[in-house]
Amino acid sequence: MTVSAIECLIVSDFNCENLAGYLSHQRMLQLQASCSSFGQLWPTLLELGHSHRSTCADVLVVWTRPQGIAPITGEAIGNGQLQFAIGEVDRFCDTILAIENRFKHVFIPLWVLPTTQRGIGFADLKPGGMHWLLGRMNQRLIDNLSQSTRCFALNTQKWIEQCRVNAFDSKLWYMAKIPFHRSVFQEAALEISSALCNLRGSNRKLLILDLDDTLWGGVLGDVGWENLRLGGHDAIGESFVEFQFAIKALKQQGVLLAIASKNEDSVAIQAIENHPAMILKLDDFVARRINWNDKAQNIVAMVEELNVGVDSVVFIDDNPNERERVKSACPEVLVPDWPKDKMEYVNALSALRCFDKANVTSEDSARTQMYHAERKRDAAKKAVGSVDDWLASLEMVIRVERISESNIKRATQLLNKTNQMNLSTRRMTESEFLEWCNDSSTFAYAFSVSDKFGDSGLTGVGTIKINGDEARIQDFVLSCRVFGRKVEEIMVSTLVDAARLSGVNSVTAIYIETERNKVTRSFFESSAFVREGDTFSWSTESFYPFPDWVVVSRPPEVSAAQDN
Amino acid sequence: MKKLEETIREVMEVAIAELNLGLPHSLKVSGDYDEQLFGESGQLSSLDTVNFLAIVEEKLNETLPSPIRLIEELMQENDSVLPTTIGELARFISNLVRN
Repeated sequence: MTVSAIECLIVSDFNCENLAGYLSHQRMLQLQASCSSFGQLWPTLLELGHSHRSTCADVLVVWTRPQGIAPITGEAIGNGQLQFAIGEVDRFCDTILAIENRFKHVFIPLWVLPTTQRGIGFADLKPGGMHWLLGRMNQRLIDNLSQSTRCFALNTQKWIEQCRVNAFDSKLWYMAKIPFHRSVFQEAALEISSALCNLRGSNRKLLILDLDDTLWGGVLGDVGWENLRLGGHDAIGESFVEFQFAIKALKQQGVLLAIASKNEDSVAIQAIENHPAMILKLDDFVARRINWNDKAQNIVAMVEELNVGVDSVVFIDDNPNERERVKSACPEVLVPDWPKDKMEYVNALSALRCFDKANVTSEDSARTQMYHAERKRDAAKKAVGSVDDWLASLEMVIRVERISESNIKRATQLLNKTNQMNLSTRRMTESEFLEWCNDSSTFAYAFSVSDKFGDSGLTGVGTIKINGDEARIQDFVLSCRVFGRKVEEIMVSTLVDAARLSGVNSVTAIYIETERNKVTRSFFESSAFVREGDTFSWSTESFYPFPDWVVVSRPPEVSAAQDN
Repeated sequence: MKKLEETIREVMEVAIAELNLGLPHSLKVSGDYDEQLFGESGQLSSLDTVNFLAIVEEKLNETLPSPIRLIEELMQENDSVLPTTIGELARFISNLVRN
């Protein structure tokens, strides 16, 4: 499959060619960036609104200086000027919101002022100051765009702080109308390209950590857990605590944590459980390999155990030899170069950007818990004889709902992140998917699964499109966490019932092969559907069978289909 | 101690590598001392030229014992004597530092 480059249009009131250049050179994805003509901010934005083309590019970046929107000078600012500036910000946002549908994603860096612009000095954040007005303008921009699912305000100040040189280059400004040092544009390009990666579902899911000199200071086997450098009145110890807090925050956002460490398992567990300054607890980790085996092999074993892709893994280890070994054995694993200075660990983690996401769903926050519940299920599976007996013992409940604004965030996340059980592997933005689901010829359902061990949350998405006498299953997406538990059958049955209700005679599923969705073909091959090549079909004259030991709660229209 | 010409050559190489990171894929500066880069018949646009000179000035000032104002000095020159190749620019810098 050929991957076409993402087209990015940059509209600015200054020379932004540098950003276009750096974006086009990003390694994370193939980007083709271009800039609108210099000095043509408003004409370009207005023209985009009147363009007859339904889409103009994949991505729009609108980067302006505050002076390009409203007069912002060193003079004291009165109420009238404030109202005028806010009105101009509203006009700017309205213009962007009017054209947002022509792009998949729109990025708007917040406004900043050069450090030489001190306004009235130390009191410039009081009403009437330039920076006070700047703050009000930025807040208005953020508020105006907060409801949009396509528009993201970006924190320019962060890029300026990261670049560690004089970010505002007056020489470049006077000579070429480039306001920033190139490193600001480099940071911006990095942020935008990693945001695009994450919005397209390629963010990382699993963080595998070493222990000694990574999660704590010192070699556990040599010094014992009581003497590890962790917390206390010690700069290094304190930095490890901060690092653990940062990792814990990632866990709350849905990143899975695991340990790969060369240590004695029992000794390491003792340290994790007993050290009073440990922020990360044993329960925070979904898997661990604490032994003397090769770390690359341990990582592969954990990836298989957790059923995640190798390309969703990040491995952090202070030891460069271990990093090299994992890099060469598992090139898809992201192994960042790691600073020698322990006090730089938090910065290094934050600079990765690979765990970023557009929003955090309740499923994200509970992900670790769900994996622990999965462990209990596995244990029960071993204790019970047949698979059917085991499944029946789970007391499964499946809740089926129409996809709507209330669940679209998670449904889109699942659509974009699921690779294995995914019939067509199409990727859509939240607004595109919602629009598609709301179409009168579409039936779109979200499937949430729970059992006696816990709630797995919204883990399935199934949609059909009615076309004449036939319904086509467009999306058939199921999280790997609930594969093989007959949720697939409930999904198919629901979609068949919805199709029957629409009066069509048959339902087809066309399998579109990717490198990673072979399990989807296997499911349809083993299903009761009739196969012809990669097309699978079912006559709506018959109900699609599903096990009676699953409690299913479905929307009235499909429940009626079964009752009748 | 390194000879001045050697220092300038190293700075040029670093600056070209940095410049290339931001240029379109179709345009790459080779670093050849005789390649026409600047001016009307040069490969680089005026914007890229400014970017390149800013990088060179920044890198020189990180390396040389006393700072130079390359861009300002170039702007004071008559158009007919402005460098059009990296080789000419290197000679211009060398003279500037020596004087």
